[in-house]
This record gives sequence, C-alpha cells and structure tokens, in this order.
Amino acid sequence: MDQRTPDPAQPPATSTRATPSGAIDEQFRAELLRRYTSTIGPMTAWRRFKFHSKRLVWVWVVGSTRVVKRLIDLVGGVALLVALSPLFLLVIVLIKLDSPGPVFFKQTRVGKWGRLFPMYKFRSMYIDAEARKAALMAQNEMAGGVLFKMKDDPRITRVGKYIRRGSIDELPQLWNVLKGDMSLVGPRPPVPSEVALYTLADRRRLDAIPGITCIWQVSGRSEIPFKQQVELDVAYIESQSFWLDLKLLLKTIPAVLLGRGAY
Amino acid sequence: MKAVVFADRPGRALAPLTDRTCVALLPMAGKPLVEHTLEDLAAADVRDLLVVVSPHADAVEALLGDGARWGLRIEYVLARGDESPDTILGRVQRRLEGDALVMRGDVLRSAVIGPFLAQAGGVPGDSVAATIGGVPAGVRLVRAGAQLPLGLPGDPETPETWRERAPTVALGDARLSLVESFRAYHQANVEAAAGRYPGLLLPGREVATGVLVGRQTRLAPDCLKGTPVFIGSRCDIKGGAELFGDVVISDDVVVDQRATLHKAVVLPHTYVGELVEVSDAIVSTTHLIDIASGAVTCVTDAFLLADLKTATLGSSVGSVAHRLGGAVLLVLSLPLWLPALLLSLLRSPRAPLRRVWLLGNHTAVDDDGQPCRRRFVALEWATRISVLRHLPKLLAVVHGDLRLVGVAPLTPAQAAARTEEWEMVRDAAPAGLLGPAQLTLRADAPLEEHFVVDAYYARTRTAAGDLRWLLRGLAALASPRAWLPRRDQ
Repeated sequence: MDQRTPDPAQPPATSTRATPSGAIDEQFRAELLRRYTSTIGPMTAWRRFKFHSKRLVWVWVVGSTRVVKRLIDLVGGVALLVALSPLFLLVIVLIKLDSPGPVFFKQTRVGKWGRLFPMYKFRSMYIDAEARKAALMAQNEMAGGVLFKMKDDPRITRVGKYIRRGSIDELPQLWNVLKGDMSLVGPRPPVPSEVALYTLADRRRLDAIPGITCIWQVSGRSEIPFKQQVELDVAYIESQSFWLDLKLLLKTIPAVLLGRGAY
Repeated sequence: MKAVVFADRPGRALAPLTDRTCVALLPMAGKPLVEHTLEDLAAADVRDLLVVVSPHADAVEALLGDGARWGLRIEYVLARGDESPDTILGRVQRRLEGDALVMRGDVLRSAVIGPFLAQAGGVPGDSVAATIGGVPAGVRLVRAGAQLPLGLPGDPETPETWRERAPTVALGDARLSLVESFRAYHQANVEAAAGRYPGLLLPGREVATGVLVGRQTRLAPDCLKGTPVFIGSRCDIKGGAELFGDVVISDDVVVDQRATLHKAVVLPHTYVGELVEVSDAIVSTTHLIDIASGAVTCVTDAFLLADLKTATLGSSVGSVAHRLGGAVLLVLSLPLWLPALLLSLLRSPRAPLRRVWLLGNHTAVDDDGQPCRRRFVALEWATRISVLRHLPKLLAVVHGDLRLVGVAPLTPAQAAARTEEWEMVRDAAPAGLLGPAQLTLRADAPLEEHFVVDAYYARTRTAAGDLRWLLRGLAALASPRAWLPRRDQ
C-alpha cells in the first residue's frame, strides 16, 4: 500500500487554505505580540489569568456534567422516595394481601458497559413466572424478537395489573438510582438474555448508565420496534445534557399518568 | 475458538506519542486502537480472548476490563520484556482449547475476521495467516496441536521481522495499516475517520455530511471549512477556528479562536492556541510532529500548545495558587512560631534557626548557559519536632521557591550526585513542602527510595492529586507522629 497514491475515494481537496488576513487579524496579531513582548506588570498577569481561566472553565464544564447528573439523581431520588413513601406503604400492603411471595422482585439487569446489577421492582407476577415464560415464548408479540412482552399475560397478579399500568412497579428502582447502578434518565437496562442477542451496534445503548425513563418511554413506550428503540437510546446518549434530562423527566409525568403504552 | 490478541508493542518509533501509553492505546478515529480489533472479534462471534500485555499493562487492563462491555471474556497474559510472540504463544498454548486465532491488536484493519475464518477453513496446515495487499495482516489461525515454534512475525515496526512463513490467505478488498511510523499513524487516522476502513464502528453522530462529532462537544458551526472532519467527545472548538478537511480530533481537546487545522491529527488533552496553524502534522499535547519530515518539536509556550491534563493549573495560575495557599497557612501557623522558638532556644541557644541550601522552583542559568533550578536558603528551627522544624519553609512557599505540594527539594550536592537517567525524572515536577515522598516515607529511608516515589509522582501528578496530597498533609498534622520529637538526621 503506497502511501503517496491518491485515494480515488477522497473528496475533492480543499485547496483554499486559510490566510488569516484583514484588519481584525492585524489587531489580533498585535495583541498576541503584546503578550510575548511584555513579560512583567499587572496587565500581563491579568492576561495570563484570563488565558488560563478560559482553559480551566472548559475542563470544569466537562468534568461537572457527570457530577451534576449524579447530584440530580441523588437529590431527585431522595425527594421522590420521601414524597412517594405513603404510596409505597399502600402498595406493599396490597401485594402482601393479593398473592403469596415477597414484595420486591429482584432481577439481574445489564448496566453500563455490560456490568450486571440487581434491579428492584414491586412483584407484579406470581412467583413461578420465570418458569412459565418458556411455555409462553411462542406467543411473543414483540416485533424484532429480542424483547419478550405480551398483552394479557396470565402470569400477572391482580394488583400487578394496576401497578404496571401506572408504572408503579418500577418505583423501587429509585433505590438503584441512589446506589449508583442507575440514573433517573437513561436507556432502560436490558436483561442478560436480550444482551446476548445484541449486535455490536445494539450494544451502543450500554454506553451510558441505564435509567428509569428515557426518550422512548416518553414518546411511545413499548410500541416502538426494537431497532428504533436502540436508535433513540443512542441518540440520547450522544446528546445527553442537563436540560435534556430535565425535559425528559418532566415529560415522563404525563406519559405515566396517561398510562401511554404500558401494559 | 479462543483468540490471542497481542497488545504488547511498545512503539519506540512512535515516541513521543508512546511516552505515556503503548501503541494499542493510541487513539485511532476516536477509540483506542485495540478496541477496533476487539469489535472485529465480537462481530465475528469470537468471544474468549487472551490479551497479551507488556508496557502499560495496567492501563490496557483498566480500559478493557473483563470485556463485558463488548460481550467478550478477556483474560490477560503478561509478556516479559522483549519476549518473542512464539515464546508467548508457547506459554499460553495449554490455555487454548482447540483452534486459536492469533492476532495483533495494535495494527489497524478493516473488519476481516469473519471473511478470514471462512477462507482459512479450506487451507491445510498447522497455521494459516492472512495478508492484505501482500503484507502480513497480523491475523492467523493456529490449529489445535500445532507444532511450535511457528515463526510468528515480530514487531511491525521492523520490516525485516514482519515476514510471513506460513501458508497465507489473501484478503482482497480489506485494508491494513501497521501504524509503524508517524506518517502511517496519521494516514490511518484520517482514512479510518473518513470511513475508508469498512466495518469499523466510528463513535459520534453525524452533524453534517462527513462531519462526525462526539458527546458533549461544543462546535461552532462556522468552523467547518472542509470535510472529512472527526471530533471526539468533550471537545471545545471555539468560534473562528477553521477546520479544513482531513482533521481528526481526539477526546478532550480545546481548539482556540482562529487556529487552523488541515490534514491534522490531534491527540487527547491538547490545547491548540489562538492563531496556531497545524497542517500535515500530529499534535500531541506539547509536541508538534511534522509528517513530511518526521521532525518533533516540543512547544513549551502554553499560549500555543498545552497539555490540558497536567497544565490546567499551569505555571502561572498554579504557582499563584500555591503561594496564596502558603500565605494562608503561614498566617494560620503563627501561634506555633513562639513555641517553636522557645523549644529551639532550649535545644541550641546560640543558633535557634538553621540555614540549609536547597534547589527551588525559580530558574537560573548555569555556567554553560543552561537553565537550572536556582538554589535558595531554607530556614529550619533547631527543634526535633518535625512540624515545628519545617515551619519557616512556609516562607519559601510564599516566595515561590517551593510549592505546597511537590517532590522533596534536594540540596545542590544531592542533585549533583545523581547519575542514572531515571533519577532525573523527578525534575519534571516542582519541588514542594508536602508530597508523597515527604508524607509516606520514613525519614531514614534511602535516597533512592525517595527518587522512585518522586519519579512516579512526577509522571502521574494532576491538580486534583496535588489537592489530595495537601489534604493528606494537613490531616497528618493531627497524627501524634508529627508532634513527637524525632531523631536528628
């Protein structure tokens, strides 16, 4: 492979090299020259300070995004747990009365970069649900085949039906948020058996800390085909910011209250 | 099938790019080079890996982990020094059940493993290798029970050892770069980022045709003057900067106003200053590498190029912060000066204050016209309580001769007595009052031990790390050891 051979696939060369010219640039050059020629004095110190602070600001902006996201998770998580504690108590009592078994359901999910963690939910199915899944697999209604979901699932308890419709069964994940396994906003964590079927492109959705709500929960929830869900998750990961998180959190509220797409 | 991935190439031809990392970790189109090989393996459903690591083994292991990120299962093999690939393969042979895929993880290929395995199946022999354009591609199938040694090619940087002796399979439309020189590294980066290595997964989102931008990157739209352009995550491309075509910018880069980049590869944590023009070059923090001539220029002026990771609290802001901190500590320590004076008078009534010549952070010019550290007089109380004894050194901190955190200052005699190259590494860091050597080593530890600890600190120091050492130093004030009289040295 000769490195000098021009590649035919290369786009037309950009021959218009920049020649910084014009009055503004002259001013600019003069300013730069001043920086070098004057080495002592308060003005130089001030210029140096401005220069270094400009660089520092970016380092801090970048470094702070992770801290800010975690802070929102901690503050929001604690606030929601406290505000929803009466509801929690009610649901706990109802689940206990409705069917035998524990209140919470612990499921292994896949977190950031493929790390496994236990995710908590209110139990909405009978305790032999996983065993009955294989028998029901034939009736899978989910397009794309990777996820298993079906309407009128016979494994779901009576209370389970209601808490699922209101997405209340997901609330114990606030504990996962406080633990740091999850975030308030992020792609939904998949189960390991789904991830085993992922292609490398699908795995891009494991590039962020998973969350309770994300774009496709807000926009259409379970009805979106799997391929598009991955695209939405990746789009979120690539454009994640404080304001986007806030917007998604606020949009989650009507989506949950109207019960759009959940079953 | 297991894969043995060699990621042990030190990359001497690529210094200074490989000063702090190895070839496998060099950024290639937004990802460490070895990741492209791992993704190729994962796409071909080869899930069990033995990764051979040698220089910067800890950094490779920190990046790849157990491989769960790619759905792989990774184990590591440590190569000792300049072991040949054949020796290493012999060492790990017992851990390979059945056929093995032996490959280099520190060269760049388009996705080839799927097609190669399909073609190699029909070729007999102990081992079948792949060539791309007549060059060994660093991919081979080693059949179970193969007789070693196989005569594996050595380092891709030396063409005489990079030879193939086994039967080969030519992969026609695949692409390969051995990343054996600055020019090859530059070209591979530009072409991979432009999508000319089929099958590579490029990170980032396409904001315009031929423009890929990573997460949390701020890019002024008027900067784009040509394509293709690739920008990594967490970059800041300020308005007025001009990116002409064939530009690859890695993560955490700041390009300031009116800088122009053309056919440029910028490595992580680089600051490209105002009005700086980079063309046909690789920029790596403070190094500018010209592709045509291979010349490496080290730029010390932070206005032009700088290392954002180490120099954010650059010489000026950093030293001001340290001097201010020293002044604050000096004021806080004033109540201790009277007991220090009294104790010193008790012990040595004639000379309560001792004078020591030390080498500080101000520079002077020596007899040969070379810049060197200027010596200064440090004062010490003549007491045996170490906290009190070193109190007057806070004056040197305020004066700027010492920093709050740094390597222990040497006397001129100690500095002159050093002969080994590694003992000089510590000079890259400023001298300081507190630091890892001062806080963790016993007072009677040999000087070599100090040098080792200081050298490690000098290579790995960060502003946040300095702050941690400062806090640790302040916390040490609460320990009884700091207040007990100590044997004189």
